[in-house]
Amino acid sequence: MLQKRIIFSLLYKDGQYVQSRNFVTNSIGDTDWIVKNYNFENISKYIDELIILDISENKNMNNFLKSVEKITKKTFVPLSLGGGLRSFSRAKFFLKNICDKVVVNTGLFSENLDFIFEISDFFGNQSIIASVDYKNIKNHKYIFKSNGLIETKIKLEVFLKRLNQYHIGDILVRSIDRDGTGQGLDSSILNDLNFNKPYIISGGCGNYKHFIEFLKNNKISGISTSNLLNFVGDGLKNLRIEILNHKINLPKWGL
Amino acid sequence: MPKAKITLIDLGYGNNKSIINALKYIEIDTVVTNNEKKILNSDMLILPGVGAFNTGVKYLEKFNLIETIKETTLIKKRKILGICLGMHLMGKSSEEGKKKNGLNFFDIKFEKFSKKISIPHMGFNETFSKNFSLTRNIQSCFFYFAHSFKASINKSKKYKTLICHHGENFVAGIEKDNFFGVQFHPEKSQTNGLKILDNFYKL
Repeated sequence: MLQKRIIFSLLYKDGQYVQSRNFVTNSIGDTDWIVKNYNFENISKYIDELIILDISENKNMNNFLKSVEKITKKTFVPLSLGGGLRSFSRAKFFLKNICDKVVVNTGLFSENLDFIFEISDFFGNQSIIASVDYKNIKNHKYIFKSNGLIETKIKLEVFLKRLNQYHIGDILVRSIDRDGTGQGLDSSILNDLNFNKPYIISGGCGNYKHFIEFLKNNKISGISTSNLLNFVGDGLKNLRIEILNHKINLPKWGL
Repeated sequence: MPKAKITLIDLGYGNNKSIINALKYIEIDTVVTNNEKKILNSDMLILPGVGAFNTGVKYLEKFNLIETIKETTLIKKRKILGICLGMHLMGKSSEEGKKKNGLNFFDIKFEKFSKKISIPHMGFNETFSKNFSLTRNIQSCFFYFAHSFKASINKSKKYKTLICHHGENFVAGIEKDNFFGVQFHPEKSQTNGLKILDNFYKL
């Protein structure tokens, strides 16, 4: 049986790793800090997947790649990279060099979506994570693009239906309202996840109860958290132990 | 005698970094090459692979490696481990690319999963075996999979196999003499995967 996933997301911005709250970011430390002080090698043993997003305004792919290489040298989980991805060449650069999947967010709203077909054609559907960010406005969910800055006026339910036709793998849905608050995930999202797709939800995880409540739901394939500080030290280890204690299907490996 | 090295066959289009990192982590020296001579003189081989079956065969042909790999493994009896598409390439054929044939080390065909189940089969899944050598000393055999084609169990009975379930039982690992294949990615399967690589090296 396919197992559920705890996914850890790191946000990279101009050489620094940042913490986000409602999509407003604060710097935490540089690559070396994450590797050494945050003890990333150890932390990565308690997660099922890793996502690293480059949210720098002016992106330098080579610097980003170097940082990712340093961070993942001793991690042995599937890796997804993203940030400003809207061309086949950029996706190919990452997929050939280091990662298993790429995350496409704002690029999903490009006029020309040929690059998505090109990626799935060359690397397979599973190599694409479609990522959408939404806010609740007057009882409706609306999608925002460009790191949550631009409102698309597209309703989430409409877009998720459209995504069902795309050649993609996972669908990552992030609540901007809950992001970084630790108040818990947005339970109203469950009404909108109506297709047989691997949905990953994100935004608001503060403790293990938040994970358990949603991982028990059949619609949810995984939960992503980027809360660096909540899960510092033994945070992720304890989280995994608690979830396993609640008989949720997470993979087990020797530690 | 110098310490044995693993030769990682570089098909030139995939991402080998994770496998190299994993072997380095468990202190195994690795040679990455598609040079015929280096492959012929290797201690043991890993055949990785991503992408489609035809692409894999095409690149094996491009570097003139079909006969080289056969000589290294069938005549010189060097161990070989095929990972994901690498395992498919060690089979007879695949529905994914009907025009090409594999290395034919295993008399198995790769087919699509039945349509009822979500494809690709992607994520960690549990595997079971009574006799598969590479999972020795691994307590909970969870590994990371990402694939759309698989080999059926009933046609693999003459081999030692590792079994996984996704809508139906399929071959997650296969072995015969010095030939080994795994459908999953050991380099993406935490310490369980590192142990697979270590077991292969030490066999």
